[in-house]
Amino acid sequence: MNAGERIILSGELIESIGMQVEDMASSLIAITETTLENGDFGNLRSAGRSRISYETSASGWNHTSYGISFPVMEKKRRKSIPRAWINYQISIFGGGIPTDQKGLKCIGPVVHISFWHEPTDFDDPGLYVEFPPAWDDCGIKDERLLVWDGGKLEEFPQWTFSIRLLDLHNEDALRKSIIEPMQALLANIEVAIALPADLPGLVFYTSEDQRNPGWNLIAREHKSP
Amino acid sequence: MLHAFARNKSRAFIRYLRIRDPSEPRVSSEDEITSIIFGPLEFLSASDNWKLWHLLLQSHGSHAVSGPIPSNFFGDFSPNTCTCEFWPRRNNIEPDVVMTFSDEHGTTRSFLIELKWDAGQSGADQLEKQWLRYQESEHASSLHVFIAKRLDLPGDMRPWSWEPSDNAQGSRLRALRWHEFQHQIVKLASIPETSRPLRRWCTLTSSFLKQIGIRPFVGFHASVGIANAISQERGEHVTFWLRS
Repeated sequence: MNAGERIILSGELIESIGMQVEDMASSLIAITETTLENGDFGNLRSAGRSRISYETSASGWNHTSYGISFPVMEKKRRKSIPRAWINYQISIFGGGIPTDQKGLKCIGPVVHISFWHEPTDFDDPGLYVEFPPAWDDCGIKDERLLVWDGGKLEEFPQWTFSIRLLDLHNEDALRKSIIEPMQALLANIEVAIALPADLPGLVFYTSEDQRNPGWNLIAREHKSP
Repeated sequence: MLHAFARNKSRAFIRYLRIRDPSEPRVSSEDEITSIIFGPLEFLSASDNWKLWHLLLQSHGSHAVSGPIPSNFFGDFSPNTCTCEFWPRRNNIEPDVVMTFSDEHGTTRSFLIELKWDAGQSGADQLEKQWLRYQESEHASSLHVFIAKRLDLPGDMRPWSWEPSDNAQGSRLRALRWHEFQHQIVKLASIPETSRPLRRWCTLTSSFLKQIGIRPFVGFHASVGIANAISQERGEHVTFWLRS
C-alpha cells in the first residue's frame, strides 16, 4: 500500500470513527436519561437538557473530543437548578489522551466519566480532562479514580474515571463499564468495588511529580506492578 | 421511499440530517418522516399492527419513562380491523396519526400518536391539550403515544394522563425514544413468528432510521478494521496527522 492509499484510508477511518462516536454518544444519552428518569442514579434526577460540546483540532478539520453534560439535582428539590453535572468526554486524539507515557503502551482513545460541579467546557482549562492536567488539587484513589478534596468534603464529591473505547463493544458494555460504576460511586460504594480491577476498559492512573508545575498523570491498561 | 433508501437509489434522506438544499428553505422533516415510516402501516393487517404497538408500548424503555400501562388495555383484545388517519383535525387539534382498532364485537382501542424529530413540543402543554381536547369521550379505550429523540416531559403528568375514574391504574401517556423504537423493531424482525410483511417493514424502517442517525452503538469494529488495513510496511514513514 502506498502513501496515497493510506491517506485515503485515513480519511475513511476518521469518518468511520466519527460515525461510531456519534452512535456511542446517542446511546449514552438515551441510557443516561432513562437511568435518571427511572430514579436509578440514587437521589439524583435530571435538572434540564444535556449539553453537547466539542474540542476541535488545530486546523479546525476534526473534533478531537466530544463532550456530553447532564445537569442533575436532588429528587426533593422543586425548581430545576443544576446542582452537579454528569460529564462524558469521548476523546479520540489530541489533549484528552494521555501522552508522554515514558515507554508505556498507549491506551488509545478513551471516554472520561466525571461527576463534577460544572459541565465540560473545552474553553476553560480545568473543566475538561487533558494531559498533562490543568488541575493541581486532584488525588488518585486506588489508582483508578481521580478525586477532588479527598472526595469527602463536598455535598457532591467530584470524581473522574476513564474507560478505553476499544473495550466498549455494544450498549450492554456501556451499561457495565460506565453506568453501573457511576451508580455504585454515587451510592458511596468503595472505589475498588465500584471500579473492580477487571472492569472492561478501566484505565489506571499514577501521578508523576504532582507537587511540581508541569506534573502529569500516567495512564496504564493494568495496575502498576 | 423506504425501498429507494434501502437500495441506495436515493440520498434524499440527508435532508433529515439537517443537510439542506438552499433552493428549498422549508423542509417538513417531521411530516415526511411520519409518512415514510408510518404510511406503510396502513397496508399491514390489523393483527400485525397490534403486535407492533403491543411490543413497542410494553417495552422496558417505555415503562421506565411512562410508568405502568393501564392493565386492561392490551389484555386479550384481538382486533380484526385497523384504520390509520394521518393529521386528522378536531377541535383545533391535529395529532400526527390516529390508529383505531376494532374486534369482532365492535370493541375499540385507539392510539393518538404525536411524533417529534428535531423540534421540541409546541408549548409545554402540547401533549396535555392534545389529550384533553381530542377524542375526549374515548380516553378509557385510548393511549396517547409520544415518540421523540428527547422526551423532555413535564414533571408531573399524573393529573391528566391518570384519570381519577380510571379503574385500570396506569399512565395513558406512553413516551418512547426513537432509539428505543429502533431497538424494538430490530427485536421484532428477529422473532420467527413475526409475519413476513411486518418483518419487512421492520427491516426497511430500521435501515432508514440508521441512515438518519438513529443507530444503536455496536462498538468500533469498523474503525479497527480500517486501522488494521493501514499497516505500515517496513522502512516507510507516513504521517497522517500531526499532534499539536
